[in-house]
Amino acid sequence: MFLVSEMSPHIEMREIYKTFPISHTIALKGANLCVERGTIHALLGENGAGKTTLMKILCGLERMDSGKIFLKAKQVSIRNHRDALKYGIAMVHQNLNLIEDFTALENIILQKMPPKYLLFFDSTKAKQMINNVMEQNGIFVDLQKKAADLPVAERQKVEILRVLYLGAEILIFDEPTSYLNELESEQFFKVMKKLKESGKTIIFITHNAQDALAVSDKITILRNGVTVYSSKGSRPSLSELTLMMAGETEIVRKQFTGYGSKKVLQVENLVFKSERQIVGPISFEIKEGEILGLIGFNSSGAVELTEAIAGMRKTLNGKITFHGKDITEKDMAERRKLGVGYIPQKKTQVGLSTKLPVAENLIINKYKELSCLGWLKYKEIGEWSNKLIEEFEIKVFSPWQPVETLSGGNMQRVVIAREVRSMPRLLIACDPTSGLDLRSVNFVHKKFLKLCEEGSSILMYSSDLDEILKICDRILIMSKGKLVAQYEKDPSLTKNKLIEAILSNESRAELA
Amino acid sequence: MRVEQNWLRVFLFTTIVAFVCGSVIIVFTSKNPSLAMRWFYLGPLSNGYFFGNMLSGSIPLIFTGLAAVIAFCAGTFNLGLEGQLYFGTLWGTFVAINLTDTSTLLAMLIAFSVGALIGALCGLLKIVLKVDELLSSFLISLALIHITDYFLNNPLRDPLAGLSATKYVKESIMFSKILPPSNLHSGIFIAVTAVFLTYLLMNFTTFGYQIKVTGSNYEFARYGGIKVYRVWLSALFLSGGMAGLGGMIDVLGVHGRMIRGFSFGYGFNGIAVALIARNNPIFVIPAALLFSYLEMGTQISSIMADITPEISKILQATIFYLITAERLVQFIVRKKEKIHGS
Ligand SMILES: Nc1ncnc2c1ncn2[C@@H]1O[C@H](COP(=O)(O)OP(=O)(O)OP(=O)(O)O)[C@@H](O)[C@H]1O
Ligand SMILES: [Mg+2]
Repeated sequence: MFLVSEMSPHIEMREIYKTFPISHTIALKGANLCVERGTIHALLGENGAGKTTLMKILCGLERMDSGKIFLKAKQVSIRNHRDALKYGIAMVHQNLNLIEDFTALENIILQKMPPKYLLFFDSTKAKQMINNVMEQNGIFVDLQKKAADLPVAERQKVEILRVLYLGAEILIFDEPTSYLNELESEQFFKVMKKLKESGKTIIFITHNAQDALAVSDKITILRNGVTVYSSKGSRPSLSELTLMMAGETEIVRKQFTGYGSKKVLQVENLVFKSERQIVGPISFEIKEGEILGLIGFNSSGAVELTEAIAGMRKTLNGKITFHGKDITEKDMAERRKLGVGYIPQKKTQVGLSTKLPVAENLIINKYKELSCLGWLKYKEIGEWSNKLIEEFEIKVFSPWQPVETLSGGNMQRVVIAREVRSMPRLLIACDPTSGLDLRSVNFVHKKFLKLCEEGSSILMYSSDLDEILKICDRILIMSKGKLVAQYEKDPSLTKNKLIEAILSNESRAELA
Repeated sequence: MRVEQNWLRVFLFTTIVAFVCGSVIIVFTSKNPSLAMRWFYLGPLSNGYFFGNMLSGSIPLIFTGLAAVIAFCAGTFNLGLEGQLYFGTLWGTFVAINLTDTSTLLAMLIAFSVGALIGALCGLLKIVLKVDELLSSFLISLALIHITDYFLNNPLRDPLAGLSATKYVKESIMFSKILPPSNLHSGIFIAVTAVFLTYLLMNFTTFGYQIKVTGSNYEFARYGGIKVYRVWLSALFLSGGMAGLGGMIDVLGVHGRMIRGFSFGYGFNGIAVALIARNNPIFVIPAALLFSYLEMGTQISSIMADITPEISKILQATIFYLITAERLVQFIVRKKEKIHGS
């Protein structure tokens, strides 16, 4: 008896169909998934394959049209989020959504507060309960800090603790590593293993076959809404997996072409405040046609530096010169006019307005050109949007469909399409490809290289070191608010060298 | 297209619930429920007089509804419509009475400007001092209502009038009546024009685009280079102006003078109207009509039967709560949709 229940799958989803009526997209056409108890299961697929949708159905966030879900061999119906929680199923979303003003503790207990005298909330008891959860699973965060002050990796832990606190036994992670850097990903994989050791079942959505192979026990691949592969005995190779996801593996690599000598951007002694620290003084420059890579931990201030240069963050001191013009005091609008494009790290919170249609999101940096005496020219807006949608292969039903109905990767393409297509003279890109599948990553890299050939420059922060090595001409390393090292591109430069360079400047204790 | 269909369903649902609630209240409070109910439901449509009054009652609601829509779309909450309407109208009336060379247009312009400036003041407080406009507009509005009452009681009071009111404005600048003896006046064309213009503004202009983007995600607006502060300020300016205009048109069309308490909560009902209309300027018209219809229904049945005017207040409160529970309504409508497999 014991043996049987051990062998039988923990969750089984059979022949799941799902159509979205608004966009008339068939997201799932008979998807199957079988997950065993106490394992880490990777759900692989390209952008728009239906991974998120399938998992949302399991969590009761979407309703399926038809299909069956079995839990421990018993058929169950999951009608809403609460049903799913009752069965111990919970999801950590693609876009972490914590309430910025609340502390970690408040964010964790938000959904279920331990009551005191039926009315007040018992914070000592809450702390105790969460401490227990932290002990049991070996995941720790500073409960008193506000969410806004936590780096992404910590925010993710808060989110994990939140679902554990709610009693989750089956944890679903939607592209958890897309917003983490190399080392944080390693840390996260450790967290996942710890969870597995304490008996949790984990489903892990990704488009990265490498990650899937590295940490998972079993793999399922979705393509266009159908399950095309589910692992049995032998483990497939990396190339087999990528082939099954239908990704071409052509590698784009920037050839050193010898960029111009003209300075596009010059930053001198820039100082500004981030949530955690004072960053700077920082000085560097970018030449015409150059791709400058910027790496560092979340605490390094690298992301904030890109925000300051883009104009989203106030500077305290120093000077930013763009094509010979002092833009330190100029706001975002003026910088855009001068030819600065920006792909922010938080794509859905800052880079998009998800309630508005795709078209209206595509024209934010161009709507004035697409209007006449203050009147929007809808026909041209539609044409322009269709052009971008086609060129960047954004999967939509119509340009007037709200962005929130797109898959995560397609939302990101909207941001990239808009910023690249505005032909900026300087493109500031923050994790531009973090949610994209291999094929789209290559596509974006090609677009970036083409921009450079046409004389634009790119400042790129990325948490993916492979990406940095692939297309950057020069690499800056930041740590604790300072620039600490610079590497010219040369073939002998390896990922390990970069990791070492980051680590030697960061106290190792901070990582543990 | 879909949105419209869905909106219609929610609107019908709201209407039906309002009527059911109304009936229940009437059954419990009236000695002759069938008579009361007949006047309540059919009264506003039974003759030209009541019908005209219902239409004219909806005019200020259309303006305050639009005012709320504009503010909401930009992501600002103007809870001070009542005060803006009141204070704007006071000065509009003041000019209309005291300037020898006045015109309808001038009075409306003054009322608009005064209301708009108060709205903009709340915007400034939000931008400069980071005071939430929800609070500032509400509190300023409360104060302004009392200040207006003071003016109506003392300096501007017509000594011959039996109640706190100003002198009458000149007959020549009043709107002409359309359906005498009812109150319906030509101001209704201005209201419809305002709806149409707001619709164009919100949907077809770059300014409307800026408002929409700012209201739906101001981080994104800032990122895209939209001057968020300017959008907030102008939205609150327009919003306050609309409110002031609504009151002035009511005075110039119906009362002929400014009377203390002439606004039966136009400001707050305007917010409810905007909520029912789901921030769509076109839908403001049916939503305002619904409110005015209920108001008229209770007024008529209190004359013709034994219903007290308080019933109207209870009904409006019920609708207000219902809309606040809009999610519930939406949920029920969606659920039905699913069952019918549309
Ligand atoms: N709410 C929605 N309304 C309409 N269509 C939707 C909605 N959500 C998803 N879709 C569509 O369903 C398809 C599958 O989306 P899904 O989010 O499951 O993809 P995914 O595999 O998670 O991709 P990604 O890696 O890009 O996140 C997409 O074509 C998407 O446009
Ligand atoms: Mg997804």
